[in-house]
This record gives sequence, C-alpha cells and structure tokens, in this order.
Amino acid sequence: MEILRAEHVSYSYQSKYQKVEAVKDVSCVFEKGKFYAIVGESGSGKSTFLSLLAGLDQPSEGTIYVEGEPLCDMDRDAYRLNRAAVVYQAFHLFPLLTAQENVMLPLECKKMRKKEAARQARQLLERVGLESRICRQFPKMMSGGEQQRVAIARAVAAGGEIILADEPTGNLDSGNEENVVALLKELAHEDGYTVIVITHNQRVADETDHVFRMKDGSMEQIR
Amino acid sequence: MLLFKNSMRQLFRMKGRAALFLLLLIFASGLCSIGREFLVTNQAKMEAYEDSFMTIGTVEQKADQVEERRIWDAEIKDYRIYNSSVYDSYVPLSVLDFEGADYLSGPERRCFYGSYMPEYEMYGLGMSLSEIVEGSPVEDAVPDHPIAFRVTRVLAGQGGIRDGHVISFCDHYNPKPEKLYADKTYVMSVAYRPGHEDQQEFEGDDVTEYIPYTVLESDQVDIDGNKVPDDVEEGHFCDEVTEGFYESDKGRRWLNVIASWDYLRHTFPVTGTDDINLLMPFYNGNAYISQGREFTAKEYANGDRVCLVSELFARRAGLAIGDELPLALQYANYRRTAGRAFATNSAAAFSLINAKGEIYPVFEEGNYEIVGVYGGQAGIRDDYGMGYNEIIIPSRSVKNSDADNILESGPMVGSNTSFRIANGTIDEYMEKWNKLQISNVEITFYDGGYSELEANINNMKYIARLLLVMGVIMVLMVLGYFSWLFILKQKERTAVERCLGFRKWHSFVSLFSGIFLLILVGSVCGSVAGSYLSGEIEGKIQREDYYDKTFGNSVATDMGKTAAKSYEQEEPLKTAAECALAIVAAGAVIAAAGIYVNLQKEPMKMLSGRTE
Ligand SMILES: Nc1ncnc2c1ncn2[C@@H]1O[C@H](COP(=O)(O)OP(=O)(O)O)[C@@H](O)[C@H]1O
Ligand SMILES: [Mg+2]
Repeated sequence: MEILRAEHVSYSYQSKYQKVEAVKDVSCVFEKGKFYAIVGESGSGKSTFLSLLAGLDQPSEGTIYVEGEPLCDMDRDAYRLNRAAVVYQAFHLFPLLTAQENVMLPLECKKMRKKEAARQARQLLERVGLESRICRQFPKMMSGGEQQRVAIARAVAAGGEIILADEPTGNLDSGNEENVVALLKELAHEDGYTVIVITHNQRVADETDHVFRMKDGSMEQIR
Repeated sequence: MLLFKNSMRQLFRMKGRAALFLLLLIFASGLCSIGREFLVTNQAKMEAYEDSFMTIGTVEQKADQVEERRIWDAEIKDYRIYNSSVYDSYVPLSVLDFEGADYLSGPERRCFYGSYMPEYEMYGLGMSLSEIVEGSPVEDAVPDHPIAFRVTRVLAGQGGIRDGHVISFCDHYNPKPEKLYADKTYVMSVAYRPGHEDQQEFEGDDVTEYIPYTVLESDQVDIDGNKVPDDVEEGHFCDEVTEGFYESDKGRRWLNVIASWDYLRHTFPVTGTDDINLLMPFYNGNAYISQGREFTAKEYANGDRVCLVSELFARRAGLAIGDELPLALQYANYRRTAGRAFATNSAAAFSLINAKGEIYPVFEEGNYEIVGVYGGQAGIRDDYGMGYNEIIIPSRSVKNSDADNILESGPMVGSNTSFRIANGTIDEYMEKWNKLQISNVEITFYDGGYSELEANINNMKYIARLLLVMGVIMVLMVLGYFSWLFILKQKERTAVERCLGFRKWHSFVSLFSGIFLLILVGSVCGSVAGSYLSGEIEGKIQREDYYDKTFGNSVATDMGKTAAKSYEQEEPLKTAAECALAIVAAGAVIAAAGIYVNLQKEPMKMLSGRTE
C-alpha cells in the first residue's frame, strides 16, 4: 500500500551567487511496511530529497503525497511529530537529556502523561536493544551505536509510520551497523513502518527491499 | 509547562555555566542598580537642595582711602587720632546690572526707614537721649575742663538731671571752647560721658561729666552723602536765651529738637526688600517666619501694603495677623542697618531735624496689613542682624521719594546690598563680573555650602554614571556571551526539535523560558542587592558629610537631606525594579533575537551534515 509518493519533485538551493539544483524531477513511490535504500555519490541530492520527504522544506517543483494527500497542504510540523521521523548520521541527540528523556520528549510533546511516556520510552529503548542502565545515561557517555539506537528509538517515538534515516550507520563500526540495520529492517517488516535509509554502503543496501540510486539530483529505481 | 520544564532541565544540566551566568548577571545588574540608584538619589538630593538652598551675593564698596581724623580730648589736652574710611563717591547699585548677570532677586540696595507711630511704644530700646537744659555756669569759665553749671530748667531729657542741679560740664572734644558767663542763661544739649579723671575734685549734684551733644545741626544728606546746607554751624550746641528767643528761628529750632525727642521714642525701623531672603538674618535662619506667611511674589511685585513684624512687638502691642499698622515713614537711613541702629543695648538717637530746622515731614504713609510674624534674634547691635522691633515691607510699597528725608547715607556694604542668583552659578557670575574690572567693589557669596555639596553630588553622580555605564556594558556582555552560549551554540537543538515536529514557538519557548527565568532571577537579585548596597553606601557617605562639615545654611542642608531621605523612603526599590525591568527586557530581546536567528536556520541544512 502506497504511503509516500513523489511526483516530479525538484529542489534547488538558491545561494547568492549560484543556484544548485540538488533534486531534479524525481518521481517515486514508497509503500507501507517496506524497507528502502537510497544510494548515490555524495552531493547527488540524497539528503535533500530525504528532507523534502520529512517535510522540512517544500519542493521547488512537483508534489509529495502522503497517503494521497499533498504534503504541502498539510501541517508539516504535525506531520513530523506524528507520522514521520528523521534519523541522522550524526545522531543529533539532545546532549543535555538522558537517553530516556530524549525518547520521552516527542512523546510528551504529543501530550502523553509523564509516567506513560517514561514507560513507553523504556520499552522503546529495550526494543532497540539497549540495556536499561543506558536509560539514565547522557549521549556523550554512550557509544556511537548506542546513540544511534537511542536516536532511532526517539524517531520511532516521534514518527508513527515513516522513518527516514540519513546514513544512520555512517559513523558506526560494522558490528553496530549490522544491529542498526537489523533493527530498521525489523521495524519495517514487523511493525509496519516505512523505512527509508540513505546509504552508500552496499551491505546496507543489500538488506533492503528496494534500492533507488540518485545521480546529480535525478533518481532511478535499480531494484 | 512541559516545554518550560524541559527548558529548565537542560539548563540545570549546564549547572556550572548557568551558575556562572547567574552570578555574573547578578553582579552586573548590581552594578547597574547601584549606579542608577546613586544617580537617582543624588539627582533627588540635588533637586531637594536646589529648593532649600539659596545663593546670595553681598556687595561691598571698598573705601578709597583711610583718613586720619583728629579729635581733641580735653582730658589729655591733645588730639586723639581716629581712622575713618573715605569714599570718593558711592558706587551706584547699577554697576551690578551688567550683561549676563542673571538675578533671581535683587540686586537691591536697602535702607531702613524711620516710621513714627505715636500709638506704639518703643519699649526697651537702648537709646540714650541727651538732656536739653537751660542754665548758667556757677562762675564765668571756659569749659575746657569740667566746670560747675547750674541747671535752672530741664526742657527735655531722660530725667538724669533735674531743675536746680549743678552738673559738671566740659566741652570735651573742642580744642577752643568759648567762655560761658555766669550772668547769662544758656540753652544747651548735654550728654554724660563717663570719663574725666579729675572728677573727684568736683563737688556738685551729679559727679558725672556732661559734654556737649550737638542736636541743633541737621544731619540731612543727599543720596550721595553730600550734606544738605544748613545755617547752623558744625558743633553748635549752645545758645544764649534772651527775651523772645524761642520765637526766633534758632529758638524754634530748639523747640523742634525738643519735640523730636518724643518722635524718637515712637520711631520704628522699617526695612523694604524684594525678597526677605536677601536679608541676612532670614537667609541664615536667625530670623524666620513663625506665624502667618512671607510676602507673595505678587505682593513684592505690586508693592502691596503688607508687613512682617517681630514676635515681641506683636505680643507687646497686641497685634495679630490681619491687623494693620499705620506706617508713617519719616526718614531714610542709607548707612546703618536697622540691626545696627536699633539695639537693646545701644541705639542711635538720630537727629530728626532737617536742614530747614524742622522735624522731617512724613513722606510715605499708609496702613500695612500684618501678614506674618517673625521670630528669632533681634536688637543685638549687629549690621547683619534684625533691628529691635524692625518691620519688614515690600520695597515697592514705598512709592514716594525719600530724597529729601535722608538722614544718613553710605556706600553699598554687605549688610545693605545683596542679590540672589541661581544655585551653582557663582563661578559663571564671577567670571562675567571680573571682566568688568571694578576694583573697588567686592562681592561675597553665601550659598549655605551648596557649592561644596554640589561638587560632592556631582562627584557622586559621576561615579554613579561610571558604575551605570560599566554595569550596562557588563550586562550586555554577559547577556551577549550567554545567549551565544545558551542559544546560538544550541542551534542544533532547535533544529532537532523542529525536526521532531516542534513548532517554531515550541522551540522558542523551549530555549527561551529557562534563560528568561535565569535572567529574571539574576537581574532582580542583582538589582535589589545593588539597591540595598547603595542605600548602605549612601547612608555612610551621608553620615560622614553630616559630621564633617558645618554648613552656613544648616537649616537648608537638613532640609535637603530630609528631602532626599524621604524620596528614598517613598520609593523603596523603585529604581531596583526599573533596573531589573530594563535588564530583563534587554535580556529578553537579546535571547529572542538569538532564538530567532536559530529558527531562521533551516533544520534540513543543518542536520544533514555528514559528521560532527
Ligand atoms: N544548504 C545548502 N546550500 C547550498 N547547496 C547545498 C546545501 N546543502 C546541499 N547543497 C548542495 O546540494 C547538492 C546535494 O546535496 P546533498 O543533498 O547533501 O547530497 P548528498 O546527501 O547526496 O551528499 C550538493 O551539490 C550540495 O553541494
Ligand atoms: Mg547527505
């Protein structure tokens, strides 16, 4: 079942001196419960496209539909709060909050009561394979893999259906990489999330259901 | 609430930096607050002082030379030498009207008037009148030493001599007295003089030596001090009484002199002024309004017939505010002040005879309403004091010229010429005055210590400004640094929050609320502490200048202090509140600006970077 669809999406960065066309006329469809990879050289427009899918900005041209509804007509803050979440290569956890608090924040933001939020946060952390002692730790005391898992837990807490991950394993060793990919895969196949990861790691791409390749802003499906 | 809690939680995780921020902000706000408080209280003090202090200048013409006067003394049979000041001419008051002179009142050249009020008695004045007697020497004699003189009739006097007394008489200060004959009757004016050592040899009713007292000659002068010509020669004190003498011009003059004795007993000094503060006793607080009021500006300007009388006179004469006094101005005295001439221990008995040989006619008459009663010292024979029973009137209420009724004239001196200028303008005034290069006129200022206080206060204000500026700079620096630290450096946090679906205002509140609370706490604590501290410091300084300095115008000084104090009490923590408010506002603006900058950064551009 289709959940996200891009139709002729283009995006360009307009700086003072030049205009960079980062995404050019991209059309594609993402389905519910599937695990996708976007590969391509760096600078090919992957992150930009992912940000557009997250509703962080509007395409210059074309439209992104979420379950048939144009994203540009939706409350994009609410969309990110309730439906789509982003995981970054650099984790981007709140350094002053503990792991549990990081995960709780979007939950509480959705007006969940504190106790319930704490319980769910602990569950989510457990779900991404973190020991309960991690709950009280601050990001800088954790390993990269642990941080990324917290970030994923937070994304799961934030996004109800879609997880967009921008090179989530870029900073991880291969062991952790495997775990994180396994986790994302599990989230897609078992929990029904639509998971889209950007990667230039073939091993990661191999784990996914479908692979898109971006080149100079254009995209083609290669699997 | 959640956002606020979250904001605070993250802030507290930066304990060290938050605490440092708080401390620095408290310190900086304290500085601001102290500076502002000082500025405000000193300004208030200044304003209070401004109202309670007055700057008065007095003017004195210096004598052009000192002249020796030789007066014969019959006792030592030689001249005694006296020094007296000589003025070539009197400098007119108009010298003070120069370009740039800005007077609040005056300059005025005061005289005092003698007001004849037969229905009021001048009790207690220390005036000794001479005795006017008729009589003959016991034997022909030249009175160059004490001679016996038989008094046949006392025409006027204080009762020291009675009819039939033989008195000791000596023309003490005359080097060449005329011979007196036993078979002639003389009318003469004599006064006693304690002195002549060879009194013991003399046997008579009164062992006191009597000397001539010239009363016949008029003292009348014009304003410049020139004597109005009079046909009685100088020093004349004695006439032979022949048949029909009292019908002659000379004789009538004697009768006028005798009649004037009664006038003297009922003459009250009256001083006209444009501002009672120009009168030194009122300025320095030796005299003060104890009932009723001072004259109004309108009364001064219109010359309304209103007056101030002394407590003593009001009590003795049964006068109250609202009563009227029938003033009848007879003469004007431009040399002595009432304070000098009307004293309880010694008072001048002026010659009330004009150059025509008549008692000065009243030149200004009217009923003056008593609007105020003054208390304080009076009648102590002081140029700068109040005269005994002195009456004060607006100078403009005297409409007629006193030119033909001047009894004495003299130069401008400190006690009769003064003006008032704005506080703190002495230097400015003197600079302009000195340009005129008038060397024989000296100006002395009285400001009750205002200049000194002003200098102190200006120093304090300078320090206050310095503190304030330092405080403001520091506050801005602290706010700037910490908004960089807490806000700009946390732009990633904002981006992540946005990414997680926080709305812009959520992110705003998330950062702002904690910082705002810190700023609030810091600035309020600092301001209040600063205000309290400044109060302490102020208190110390005030105590010091209370004990260290005695100001001429102490009443005014105390008033200034009270005013400044009451200001502080009326507005507790007002400045602190203002200060805190300003800092909070500045902090809020800076923080908001910082957060605005953060929010401008598109999260997608910030977060997609490959590595940290
Ligand atoms: N904030 C930006 N402003 C201007 N150009 C940008 C910005 N971010 C990325 N680009 C440009 O857009 C293009 C696509 O970038 P990006 O989407 O980050 O590619 P990728 O993630 O595949 O490496 C690149 O040429 C890059 O230089
Ligand atoms: Mg990228």
